[in-house]
Amino acid sequence: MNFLKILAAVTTSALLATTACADEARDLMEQVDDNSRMTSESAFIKMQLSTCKFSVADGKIRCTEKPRIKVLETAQMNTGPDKKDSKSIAIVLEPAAERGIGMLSYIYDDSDKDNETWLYLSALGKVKRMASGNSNDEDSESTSLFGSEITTEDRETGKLDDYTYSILQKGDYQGRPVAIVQQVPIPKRAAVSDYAKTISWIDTERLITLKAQMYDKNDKAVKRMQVSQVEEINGVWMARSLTVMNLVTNRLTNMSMDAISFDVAIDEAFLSQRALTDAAFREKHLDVLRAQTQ
Amino acid sequence: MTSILGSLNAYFGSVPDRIRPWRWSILGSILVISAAMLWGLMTRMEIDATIDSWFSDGDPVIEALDDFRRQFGSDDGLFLVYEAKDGDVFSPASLAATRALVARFENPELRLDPDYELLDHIKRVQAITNTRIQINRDDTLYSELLIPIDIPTDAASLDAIKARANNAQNLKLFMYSENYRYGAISIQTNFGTIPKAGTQQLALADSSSTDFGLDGDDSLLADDLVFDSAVDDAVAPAIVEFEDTDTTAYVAFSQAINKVIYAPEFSDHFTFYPVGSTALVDLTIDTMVQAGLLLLLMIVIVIGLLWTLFHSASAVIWSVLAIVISNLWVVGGAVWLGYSVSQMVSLTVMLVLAVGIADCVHVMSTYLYYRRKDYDHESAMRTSYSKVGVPILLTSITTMAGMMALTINAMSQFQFFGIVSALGVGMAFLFTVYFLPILMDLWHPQIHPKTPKTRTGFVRIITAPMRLLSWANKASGLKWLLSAVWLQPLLDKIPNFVAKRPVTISAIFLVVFIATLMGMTKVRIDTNLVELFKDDTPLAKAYTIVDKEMMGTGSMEVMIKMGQSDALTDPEVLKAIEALQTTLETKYGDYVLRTYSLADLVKDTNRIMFDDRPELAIIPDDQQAVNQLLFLFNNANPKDRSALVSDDYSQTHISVGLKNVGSYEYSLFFDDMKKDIDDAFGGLEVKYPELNANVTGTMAMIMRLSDQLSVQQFKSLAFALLIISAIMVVTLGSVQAGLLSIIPNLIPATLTFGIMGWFGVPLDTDTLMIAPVIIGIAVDDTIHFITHYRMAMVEHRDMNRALKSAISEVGQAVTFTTLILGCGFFMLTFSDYLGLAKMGGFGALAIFVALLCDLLLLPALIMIFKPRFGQKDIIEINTDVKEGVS
Repeated sequence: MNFLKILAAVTTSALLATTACADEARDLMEQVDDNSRMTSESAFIKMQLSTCKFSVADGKIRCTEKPRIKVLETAQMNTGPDKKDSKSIAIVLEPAAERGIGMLSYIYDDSDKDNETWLYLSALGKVKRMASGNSNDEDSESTSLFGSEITTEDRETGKLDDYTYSILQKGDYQGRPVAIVQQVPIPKRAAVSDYAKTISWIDTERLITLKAQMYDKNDKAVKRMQVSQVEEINGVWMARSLTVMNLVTNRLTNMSMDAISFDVAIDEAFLSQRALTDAAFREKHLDVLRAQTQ
Repeated sequence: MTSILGSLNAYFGSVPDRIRPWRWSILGSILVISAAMLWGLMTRMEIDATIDSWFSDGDPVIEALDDFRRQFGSDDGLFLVYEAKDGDVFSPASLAATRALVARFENPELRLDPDYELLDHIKRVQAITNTRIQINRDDTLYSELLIPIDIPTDAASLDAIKARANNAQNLKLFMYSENYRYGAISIQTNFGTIPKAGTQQLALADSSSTDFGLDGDDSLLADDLVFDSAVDDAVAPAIVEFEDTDTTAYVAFSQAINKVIYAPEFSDHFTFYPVGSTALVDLTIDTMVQAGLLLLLMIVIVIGLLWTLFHSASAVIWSVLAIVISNLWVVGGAVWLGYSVSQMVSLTVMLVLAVGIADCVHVMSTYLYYRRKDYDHESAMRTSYSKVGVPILLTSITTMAGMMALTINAMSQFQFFGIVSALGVGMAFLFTVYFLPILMDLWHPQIHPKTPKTRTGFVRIITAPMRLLSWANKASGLKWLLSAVWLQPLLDKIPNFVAKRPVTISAIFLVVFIATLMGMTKVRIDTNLVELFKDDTPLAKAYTIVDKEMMGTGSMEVMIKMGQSDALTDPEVLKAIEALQTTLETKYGDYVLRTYSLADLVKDTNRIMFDDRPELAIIPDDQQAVNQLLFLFNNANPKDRSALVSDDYSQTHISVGLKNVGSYEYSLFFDDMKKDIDDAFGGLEVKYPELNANVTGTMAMIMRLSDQLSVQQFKSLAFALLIISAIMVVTLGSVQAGLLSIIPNLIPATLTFGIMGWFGVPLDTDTLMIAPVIIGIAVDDTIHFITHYRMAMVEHRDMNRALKSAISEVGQAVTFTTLILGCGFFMLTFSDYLGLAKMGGFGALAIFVALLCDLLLLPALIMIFKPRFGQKDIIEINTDVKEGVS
């Protein structure tokens, strides 16, 4: 799984795209997408996913129960011709019951080449390659990221043509110049989407999404995403903290990046199945990466 | 008491004269208000036939279900069973049709068409064609569609698909039958899980507004609340409340579904049998429509009988008008007050019709009695109202009290029915006393009707249908049967007949009473959905097939709340769940067709992980291993995971597929099962002190509702009897007389239930509803009889004369009301819905038995016990006088 890409995608928008369009809203979203691509270059991140039931009190959104915390380390690099493919690995550090679970993903730009994912379950000592079997089977279901409120749809990239965009309003939001962009899936996309509409607050200077709200088919808000701790790292603006609130179940997931490094030297041999099963090998490489982390 | 009754008699006698000066303003006001009520009915009436409507908000049953829905989504969907006409749901043609059908349901473009708009309620469609199964091949886990996109046509590939389907834990019986002839499409909807507006997120609601089109809407740019990582234990999480489902949405949804499935490309290939609450609501609406038609027919018959009785168009039209307006006001009033109407409304209308007709018949027959004695119109009005005013008031009060007794029932629908019916009965009384005289002043029945030749064209047109009915009645002999020709001589013979053998008559009734009481002990309070419909109705067929071939129609859920995160990854807990499933499947094999739980999922994933070795379909002993198996499954199939276990692994449910059985068996089964559940988790209480396991689910709720309803209804009935007895004792001024008058009213009810007991007819929710109606009507007749008797005794100071006068004067009216109502109720036996048909049949029987009790038993009891009603110097009945009666 390409974690930097995930991170970038989530922090920039619920749904992003790459194809060009003359329309202003579309142009803006493309720029946001470009920005996100810059954040996905050779990177090592330690992140924490905190999931809990929440409520609003004293002007703040707070967990009303002890959050379930997962700590992950992810490494990613772009590979292949034109650096358009990518390889990534994610290792669970916490909780103890899931410690050592690892996921290795190879994403290929070539649409004829299937992406590859291997999952290692440490307690069973088994590596399994995960595959969606049928060719022309596009009906992939939205999956939650390590059991959090963040789903694959929230972090999906590309497919800009699957949506229509419009700018609802421009102004200042939390002291930043924003354009409020509405994106509506075309019918084909709507059939598989959890959302009938997404409204995103885009920082027009930093080209990141500050907030997004997702609506169901009854036009009711079902999910909200907000970012905080926006920082410029290696010339790219990104948020270190992202909170996704499920307004139906009243659960939220906060993803915070405790340590983040771009342009780290990653040995491509590390992004292999051996890193999943061979603990010593894995730790050796992780130590090298941790040493480079800010 | 005598003086109070005397003053009331005088008051009611003066009413026609008192209101005469105001007649035009009263008439005008009534017409205007009636028009408003009619307008309300036509424009604002909402029908609520959902199950939720039976429960008050905050009822524990609803809370439990909402709790389940909050966690696992709506269980309120449609289970669409289909039979492949080629005999194999796995044939290439069937698979292609199934896939096309699923695609049609999911097609978002179709939903843009207003006819299919309601398909938007569909959240998930599951069928064999879109089911994914995990396959372990060459150390690679595939999450494949069971049926490939390119459907194979060769037998070997199709057999391989069947084998794979059979190998998966939870597909057989859920998605296809053992013999492959039937398949099922499970359509999950959002019915019952649509969050109420404004309850989603307190302060977050600010930007939930969708009004984004407004320029310069600064609220969009307002600062938002920020996430604070500190945990606030003191604040309880906001709970999402769900909107009640609107019945019209169910109906429109069902119509959209039908429009899809009955398109030739699907109906040519499959026969469909829809099951689930959506299908049930659809049927309930059909039943209400049919009940409405039967009610209309009942009114036509009542009109015919009234015509036969009075030979007067005005008597018929004014009586019917008074009753129609009573119903209009009460139902229209409820609608204007914003109440939605349930299937119970037909019963209210029927009750008001029954009581109102009785009121009017008593007024009319007394009026005609005195007109025949050459009283002029105004004197006849005065006399008849002074004679019948008090009995009508008393009958209305007792019936209203009976109806109000229903409000002790905890079910909101029953409370509503009780109040609305009581108001309706009161309304019928008011219209009989204050509206009917005005109408009769305008156009009153003639004792010597003009010959047809002298009638004006207008009157001829109005009376044409009456004359047609009259001709039909005459031709069929009904006219003779219903005319007073044979009745009065028969009634005249009754006092003597009874006087000769009061003890024998009482003894016969006593024997019948004891026999019916014995029968009553055998009555089973039981509601079986399928048994309420005739065998050839689509629902009955569907239920039979699903129970026989698939996972059963009575699905329910055992909701398990551990009270601790990750508790459900504890192998000990999963093994307890597994053991409970085994107990349910073995101990209740007659009911339980299938169970499915998180334990099955873990076992299945473990087997797949270890190269599909069947012996490894087990729950690992290591919690970390369980945890990681669930992690794997969640990764591959998060929707199935979240449909089965909460995100923090603290809540789960066991789905239990049950055969349809009656509510009685269900309730016994639930009680036993509760014990098994407690036993299964008993050993875990120390480790998980907050563990809580309960049974819930829509179908389970329907059955529990039926059972609770029947029991509560029974209690209400007993309470109604008590109240009515008390009122009788007080108004008759004598405990002895009060108790005497109750006895003839007990027999119709006990006889009905006794017969049901002896013949094994279960007492269901619908049949129980006849009880208050029966008691209401029976008591009315008794009150008319006994108040007349009492008045005659005060007048003549002679029991014999009083008895003779009561039987000859009231007997006729009582017999006619019985005939009218008995025949009206009997019409309901033609309903397809056996609940209504039984109600009609037993109701008619009870009404006729009540007449026998009033004409034979009550006089016999009076002769034996000689109640004096507080009067002195009464000539009692003795052997010598008895001869004189004749």
